[in-house]
This record gives sequence, C-alpha cells and structure tokens, in this order.
Amino acid sequence: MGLATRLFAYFDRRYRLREPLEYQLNKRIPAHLNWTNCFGGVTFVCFFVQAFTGILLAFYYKPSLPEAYTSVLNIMEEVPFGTFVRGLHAWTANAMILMATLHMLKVFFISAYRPPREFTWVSGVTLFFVTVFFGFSGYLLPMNQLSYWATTVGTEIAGAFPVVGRYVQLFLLGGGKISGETLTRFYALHVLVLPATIIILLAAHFSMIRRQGISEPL
Amino acid sequence: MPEPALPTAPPPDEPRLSRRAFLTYLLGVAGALGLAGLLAPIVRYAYPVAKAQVSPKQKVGEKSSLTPAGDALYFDYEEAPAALILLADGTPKAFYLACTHFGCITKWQVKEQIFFCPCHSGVFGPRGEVKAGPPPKPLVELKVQAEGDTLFVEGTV
Repeated sequence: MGLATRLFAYFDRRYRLREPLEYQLNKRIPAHLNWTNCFGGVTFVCFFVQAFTGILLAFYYKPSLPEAYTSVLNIMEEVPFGTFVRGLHAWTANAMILMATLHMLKVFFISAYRPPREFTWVSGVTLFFVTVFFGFSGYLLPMNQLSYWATTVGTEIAGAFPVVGRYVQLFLLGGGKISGETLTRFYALHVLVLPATIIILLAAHFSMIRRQGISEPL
Repeated sequence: MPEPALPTAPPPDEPRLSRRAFLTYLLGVAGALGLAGLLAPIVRYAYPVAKAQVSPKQKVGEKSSLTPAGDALYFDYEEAPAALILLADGTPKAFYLACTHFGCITKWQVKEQIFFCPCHSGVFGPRGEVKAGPPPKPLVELKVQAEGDTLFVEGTV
C-alpha cells in the first residue's frame, strides 16, 4: 500500500471521508456539455491565480502616497520574477472579466437562469459586479497617471448618480479628491473586503450549482 | 583463506519492481520536478533581495569630551544603538549595545566598568568580553578611527 493510500486510510478511519468525497467527486453531468460550459470554471481559475499572485504582490507593495509608485517600480525592476508576477496579476484581471462576461452570455443565451436557478443567476451577476470592482480598485494601486485619472473618472461617474452620488463619491475618495486616504481605502477594499465578499458569493454560487445540477437544454 | 562466496543472483520468484510501480515512481519524480520548477521562482520572488553592504563612516564625537574609564558616549550606528568608551589607558573602544544573548540593550556601568544587560544579567567587560551571565559571545565591536580629536566609527571589527 502506498503512502498516500495509508495516509488516507488513517484519516478515513477517523472521519469517514470516503462517502462524502465520493459524493463530491462522482457527479453525473449531462451529455450535451461542450467547451462553452467551461467559462465559469475558467473564471474561477482566474480568481485563484489572482488570489495567489495578489498575495505575492502584497509582500512588496506599500499602500501609501509616497511609496505606492516606488514600491511597484521596485517589484518591476528589483524583485526576481516581479515583472512576471505583476504581469500575470494584471493580465489575469482582464482575462477574469472577459471569462465572466462569456460565462454570463452563455448562461443568458441558453436561458439557464430560468427557475429553479434564479438565485444562481443573481449571485452570478453580483459576482460579476464584485469582479469589476476588484478591477476598478486595483487600477488605482500603482498610483501612476493612468491610475489617477481612471479613478478620477470612475468616482466622477459615481458622483453623477442622482441624490446619493456625491455621498458615494465622498465615501470612495475618503475626502474631496484623490489622496492617500483614497489609496488606503481602495487597498483595504481590494485585499480585504472584496476577497471576503467574493469567497462567500462563490461558495453560495457553487453550492447552488452542486445542489441543482447543470441545467438541461430546453 | 578461502575466497568469499560470490553474491548469488536473486531467486526468480522474489518480487521485483513491477512495470506499473516503476512507471508510477517515474511519474512521481516528474511531478515533483515540475512542482519544484513552479515553486522555485515563487521562493526566489519572496526571498528578500540582498542589498549591497556598505558600512558608512560616521562621526561619533570628540575624544577630549570623554574621560578614560569614564562615562560612555551613546550613539546610533546603522539604526542600532551603540556606545563609545575610553579604556583606562585612553584607547577608544566602540560596541553595538545589543546583548549577544537575546538582543536586549546593555548599558555601560561606570563604577563597575562593565556593560550590563538587564534582561538576564549578562556582564561584559570594557573590551566587550563576556565576564558573567548567559551571553555566548562578546559584544560586537565597531572599528574606531581617530582624526585629530574627532572619533569616527566605520563598520565592525
């Protein structure tokens, strides 16, 4: 008996893992599935890459006005594989939004959102907004010209919303204009609030799919 | 003396490594190598880049302001606390004050002519040597240079 088998047997004796594991691993899926059903899974892989490379970037990134840009320069010029890690994070951010969009279109055009899967769709759309907000908050963090003006435009758009807009803008900026307050806010959202939110939503999204199975064509 | 017996060939019925097991091991090795190739850049990324070590020359004070076997002149060198004293014969000596036991900051005791560590009662003599207590090594000594009356430190001894 191999080491892995014996190790599994050791824990299986104590926690009865075989049955729930078999339940999770052996799922019947409809025969009509093809590669266009993979968009959601690929989006999740993107999220995983983002979480991992994001943690690596947080090793060196400093969320303060004088240090943000120079710490990104440090990642790009001094840290071994730093360009690769940051490049992967930036490109995968784009890929994640692209894949989520394709996933959404697929689900929309095969009408997979119809009952009883309404809340899978609702959680999915919320996930899409969270993903976009991930992108928006991450865009400010390098604190270069592009970041500054993109955040200016983004928060101005939020500010143009009737009645509550200017309060939302004030909340996002942490003051009247982009400053160190905005940076720490966006950083907290990007690395604390949004990850927690997306993990909860993903768990809900996946449990509902697991429970109901993949939708059959009409 | 008789020749030692040659090792005999294993009996044919002894279980050998089966083809399947061999390929499984091979797959394991390939997997481990692949994983190592993946992990190596991550470790390289996370490991701090060594900055070139430069020990700046730093002015400490005037020799005439100190008395032999008298009070110490405390200063910071490379962001760490240090002190300069004059031995009884007037030789300047400078040390990092971090105790070599667990890094507490020692203090110069003029009366006893010792560096005393309050954490575990480590005692160092005026040349940095361990006199009592748990410290395993003498205090780290700094190179002192004199230019006229002015004393400088530059790097460790």
